[in-house]
Amino acid sequence: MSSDSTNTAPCVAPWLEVQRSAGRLCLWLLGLEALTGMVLGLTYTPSLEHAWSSVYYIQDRMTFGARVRDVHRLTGDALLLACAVYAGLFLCRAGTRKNAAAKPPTGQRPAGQRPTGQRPVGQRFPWRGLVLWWALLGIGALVLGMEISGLRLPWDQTSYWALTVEMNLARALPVVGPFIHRVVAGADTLGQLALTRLYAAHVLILPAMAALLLALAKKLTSQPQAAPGVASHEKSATNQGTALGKTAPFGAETLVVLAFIIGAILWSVNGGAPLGAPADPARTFPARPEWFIRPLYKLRELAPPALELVAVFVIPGLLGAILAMFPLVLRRLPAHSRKWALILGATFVALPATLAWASLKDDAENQDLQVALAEDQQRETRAKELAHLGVPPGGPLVMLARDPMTRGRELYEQSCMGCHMYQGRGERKAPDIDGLMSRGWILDMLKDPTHDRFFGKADLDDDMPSQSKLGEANLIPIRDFLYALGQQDAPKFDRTIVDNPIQTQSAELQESKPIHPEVAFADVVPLFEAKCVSCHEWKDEGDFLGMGAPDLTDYGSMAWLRTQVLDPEHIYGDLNKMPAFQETWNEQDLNVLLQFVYLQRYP
Amino acid sequence: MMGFESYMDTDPKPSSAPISGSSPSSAPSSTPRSGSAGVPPTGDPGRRHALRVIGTVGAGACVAATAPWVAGHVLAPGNRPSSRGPSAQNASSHGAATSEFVVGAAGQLSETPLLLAVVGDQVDGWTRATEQVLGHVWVRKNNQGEVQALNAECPHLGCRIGFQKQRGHFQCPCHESAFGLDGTVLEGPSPRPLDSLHARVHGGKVRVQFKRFQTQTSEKVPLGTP
Repeated sequence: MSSDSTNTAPCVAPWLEVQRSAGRLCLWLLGLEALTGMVLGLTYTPSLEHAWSSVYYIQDRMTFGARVRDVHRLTGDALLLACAVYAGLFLCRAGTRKNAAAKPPTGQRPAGQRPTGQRPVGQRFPWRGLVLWWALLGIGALVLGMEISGLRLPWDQTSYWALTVEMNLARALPVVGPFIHRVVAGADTLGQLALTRLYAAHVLILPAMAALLLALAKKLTSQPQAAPGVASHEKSATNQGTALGKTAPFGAETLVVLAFIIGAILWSVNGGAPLGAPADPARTFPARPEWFIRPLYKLRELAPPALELVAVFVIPGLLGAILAMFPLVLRRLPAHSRKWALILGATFVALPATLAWASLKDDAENQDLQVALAEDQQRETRAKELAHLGVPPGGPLVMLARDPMTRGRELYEQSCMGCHMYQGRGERKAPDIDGLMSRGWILDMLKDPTHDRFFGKADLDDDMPSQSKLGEANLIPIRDFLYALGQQDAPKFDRTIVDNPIQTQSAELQESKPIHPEVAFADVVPLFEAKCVSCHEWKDEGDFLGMGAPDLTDYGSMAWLRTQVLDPEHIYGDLNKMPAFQETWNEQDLNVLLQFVYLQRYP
Repeated sequence: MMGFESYMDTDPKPSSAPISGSSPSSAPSSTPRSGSAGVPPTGDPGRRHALRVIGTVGAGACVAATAPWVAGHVLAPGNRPSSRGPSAQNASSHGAATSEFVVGAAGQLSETPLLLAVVGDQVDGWTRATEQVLGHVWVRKNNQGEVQALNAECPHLGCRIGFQKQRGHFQCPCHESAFGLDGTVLEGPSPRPLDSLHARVHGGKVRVQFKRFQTQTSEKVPLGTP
């Protein structure tokens, strides 16, 4: 017994210092959060149309904007950790102190080492100390809440889908679940109300509650307990939370740690605050929780489906209750309570860490997940390219829905990929989309129409023979003429597409303007009529041989593509194998899809 | 909190000191030292104390009794149905059983499931927008030629279900639930099969009675019904 007390006693002073430093660090980090939060608040706008865009604007256009956001984001993580460290030290000290106080006061203790005449104060601990401990736990919970609500504010894919899962989980809680869901989400569908509420919680409600609890904690720690017989110099040592800003707020070592944290954040190459693709309820996304919820994610996975809610709510709830009552438990533990506390604390840290690590490992090995993330990464890149030039008032989703390289491609993948290959994906039952109707494509096709790239797999009843025999001298003018036919109604593409195509960068695209091919290529028309129109129809004549070859009127133009998609028989006649896609898309989608295909002519 | 604390802390008999306006946390003391002797008698301390306790408990009880009602009605938005048209809840979730949506052309359908968007009016708080995507359905024809439509929202926690072509089953990207072509759970935590919706082909178009259901329940509970 006595050896135990001599072991713990020398530890108390340095550990108290560490605890004080941790407490000061928490306050500093909170201040830093408030400061960076104010800077971000000058720009961030909590609306479905503007949330993602304003965050992108902060990253893209504001001086140090991305860095401020990194600091705001990662300081939150650091704050969580600092709070955990502080709470751990607080408990350890509480444990050792109770241990000492529980000893019979008759023990032969060197004077001034541990307060012996303190039983009355020790008895008071359960209320004052416990309330303080709860206040601290409450602050920790509020920090967690601020962290989670803050992470949902950018309204990117991760925000949206994580919130979806969280809200559905909350709703599954008995009795209070539907109420929580309604208060936080505002409606059955996550939308504007949910975002506004998260914002209000993040910047107003949770910080205000945290400030109240801080004030309470400060009051509980700074006022000496008016117990008789306690010498004034002992008071600070006996008070539980002296570490919370009681002494000088400028601890040198705290500032060093703070500087180190900020430095690490600023030096991180990739930045700590990613911004994914804009939230899109229409696009599936593998939502994964943040690091501090990861253990629960894994725990849920390990639990049988029936016990899922137990894993997600009951176990953490029990742990929280144990944590809340821990000072009382410590008090009743025998002399080696400190060891127990350490073991328990280590379990508290090690177990979740292992779970999180296992979950991260699962994800790294999950091929489907990696593919999905890569696809989303592509969308994110494109969204940022477009947003760099300005987001339309309708928001990032409207911006992407008008973008041929995003929405058009998506529609292609939904409906066309089964027969037309693009960039190595999809099946080959018809010509590839890559470079369709570009100059190179037309020339190659004329030379070898039955290549797999073209009509080789299309299984037409009558294949067009190779035209190589005409020689390049004839083929190139014909190609230019055919190409010009398609240029007749070249759409005026949005500036953004010209400036930032994912794969096409062509001066030609910028110059493209409607032309009159029959005027511009007057000398080629006779050659074209001689070599092509005997099989192909052109301007309601031709096909003298009755081959039924495709109609070449306005070949490759937007109008031609539209007919090809909606009514392919009109062009291919009896040869046609392509289904008619009437009433598949609305006008805007159809137009964007056609533009996507049309853009292939600018390789 | 303060009142509660001082109540718990203070001996029933002594301590009239707190009433004199100082903050409760500094004032209460359980030691017999600060009995009524040290304080000028400003009334019967026992009665004052009892009144205070009764007041605190009474106020607490009042707050506790009314808080859920106040919170439920003030904090949750859209409680009051708009005088014209459906309330926000109904319109946004389209809980109305009769709402049938055209989701595509019958010619598109095959035995491979096709993801189609359900487009309609959406009320979100104070906005009402037309031509909004309300949700998605996986539609296919089974080998008898009947049209089957499944809500693409995972019954587990609401992520969007994808279709794994190579493996020929549906899969949720979030928690790895897998579903057969008819929506039955193959593996994973989903508590029920994918929600089938009434679908038919009429006039060459696929029409689906679109509904959303609560997640995490083993029965289909339509959203919008409390």
